[in-house]
Amino acid sequence: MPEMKSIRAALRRFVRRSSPFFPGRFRHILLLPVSFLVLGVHAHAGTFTDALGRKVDLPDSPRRIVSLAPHLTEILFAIGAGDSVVGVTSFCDYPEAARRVPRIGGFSDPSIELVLAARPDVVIATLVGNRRESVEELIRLGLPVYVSGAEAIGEIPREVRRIGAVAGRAEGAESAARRMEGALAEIARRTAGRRRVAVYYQLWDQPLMTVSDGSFIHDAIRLAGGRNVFAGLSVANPRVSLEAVAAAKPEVMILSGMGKEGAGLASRWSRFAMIPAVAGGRIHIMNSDLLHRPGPRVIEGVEQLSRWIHPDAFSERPGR
Amino acid sequence: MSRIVFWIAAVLSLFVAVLSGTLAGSVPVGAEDLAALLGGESGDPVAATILREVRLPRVARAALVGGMLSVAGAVFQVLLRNPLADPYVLGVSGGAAVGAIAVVLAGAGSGWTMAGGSLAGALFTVAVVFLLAGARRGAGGDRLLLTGVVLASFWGALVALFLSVSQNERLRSVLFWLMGDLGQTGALAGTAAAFVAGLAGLLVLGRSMDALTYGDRHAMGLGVAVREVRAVLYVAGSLLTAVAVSAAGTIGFVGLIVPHAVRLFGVRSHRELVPASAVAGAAFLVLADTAARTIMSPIELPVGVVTAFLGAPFFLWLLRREKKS
Repeated sequence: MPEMKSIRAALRRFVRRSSPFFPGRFRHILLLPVSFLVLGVHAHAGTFTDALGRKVDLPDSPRRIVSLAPHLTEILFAIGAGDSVVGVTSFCDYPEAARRVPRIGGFSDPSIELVLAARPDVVIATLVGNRRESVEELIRLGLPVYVSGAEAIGEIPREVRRIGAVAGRAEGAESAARRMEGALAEIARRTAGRRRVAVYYQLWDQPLMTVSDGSFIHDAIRLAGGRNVFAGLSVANPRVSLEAVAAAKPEVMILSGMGKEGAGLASRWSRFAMIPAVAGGRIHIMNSDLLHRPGPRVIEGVEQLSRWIHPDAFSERPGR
Repeated sequence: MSRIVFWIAAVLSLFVAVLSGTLAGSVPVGAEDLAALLGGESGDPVAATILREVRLPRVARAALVGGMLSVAGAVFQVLLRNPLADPYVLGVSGGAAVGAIAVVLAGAGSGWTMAGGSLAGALFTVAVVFLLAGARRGAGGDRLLLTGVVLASFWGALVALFLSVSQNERLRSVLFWLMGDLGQTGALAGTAAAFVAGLAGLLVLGRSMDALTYGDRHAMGLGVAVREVRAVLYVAGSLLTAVAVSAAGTIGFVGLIVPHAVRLFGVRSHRELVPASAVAGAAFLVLADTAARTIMSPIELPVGVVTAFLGAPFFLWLLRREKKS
């Protein structure tokens, strides 16, 4: 059983690396109890190519999956692999069932020890949020790491299918991906041929921060039929001045927030009637969890954006 | 005679700073718009809103904070009899930041409670510096300064701890606040009142501050109530720092370099040094903030980055110059 050997080797490497914390002579005794824990291993393996371009050998239908990002956890639950998820980050709060899964640390800094202790068949990581060093450390330790990556929202359905293959849930992934593609196509159909409306997206209110075309959210605005007024800035999440927002003359303003602060976020702008969005009463509060996570719910977020940007496109009944 | 020239130059530089800070920005605003607004006439409504709601409050905030930090720096330099003293180096700004963050974490982060939290943090830092370093036994300024430097590092670690264990969304603002954020929207009346009160108190104590620069014994010989004056100075320095921090976050180098720059013009007496530092500090921070807003416009830089880029070379030049002479 090659997998068992590799996990044992990973543990040995980890202990060697951590040797300052263990008394040298007895170091290997520590491995004994852990070795017995590593017996749940699968026979057949498939080969996958991940976002780093690595070829990874993974078990056929993994029963112990560790997710290193909230959006990956959401994808795993959406494709029906939730019951195989044995470790998530402390930021993974959706769906409700994900809250009951043991935590393996933070999002940017998952705990290597806790990931190892979860005895994963597969670790699904991302380069958007996980520190590259942490991911590389897990790979060096010989863990079966699949690095997921979707640069744009249009690529998410494809990534959902890949994760479905990795997690052994191809069917669930296929139907989830189809739903997402259908929803995106519907939004594209409704907004097709319409003028691109100038949109300001407020990532953060103190200090004011927005998104440029280096950001995922810029892509969402584009798909929703809008034009990001700060698209051309050199930083992905630039800090801008209040008057720069006024000078950009957005027709719709989207303020990201967590609900309860919503009213306060909007009232700050009420004195700037020279901004078309303020004069037209087109300021909306976005639930940031929907749009800031490149998972299944981002499609809901894009649809919500699109309804705000082109309300008349959604007044007709759906269908074609 | 040269005193008059100096004061004219200082006030003129503040005027130029305020004018350029008011007229520079993403939305084009002309001097005639400013004149119309000040004259109560109806000019371009867009320019009027930008001036009234964005530029003037921001320039006022920068001027107040710059003045307060500079005066606080002058006060701490007297108290410690050390030219390196400044609210940032001494950990007073850091203590104020920790106090304000603690209030945010406790879920009570409004403008006034944050000001209260930062005042508590600033006073606590100054109290610890003087108690630990044994101010009563007339400890040297170096020892006080070292105690402050250690505390500043500790406050830095505490902020890092808060940021890494808390999932409070509001704390993301703190990250920016630690390099200065003059774009805040809270009312400025309290800030202005604290500045005026602090400045007035310090003007009365000008002669005593002069005496203290020669040492406590010398000051006592001149009939200064050393302990009382020191106590008032601690409170005034901490109050100015705390109000400045709660209005704009922690901004370094202002309190350190502005009093030194003023001394370069031969100003020695604190009756003159304190108000001159207030004027020069106000001009300096308004200019620094204007640069932070416009250099990469519409992207804004943290104002603390600009003050550091201007302040660090200036201070090093100053050290070299003093060594030579």
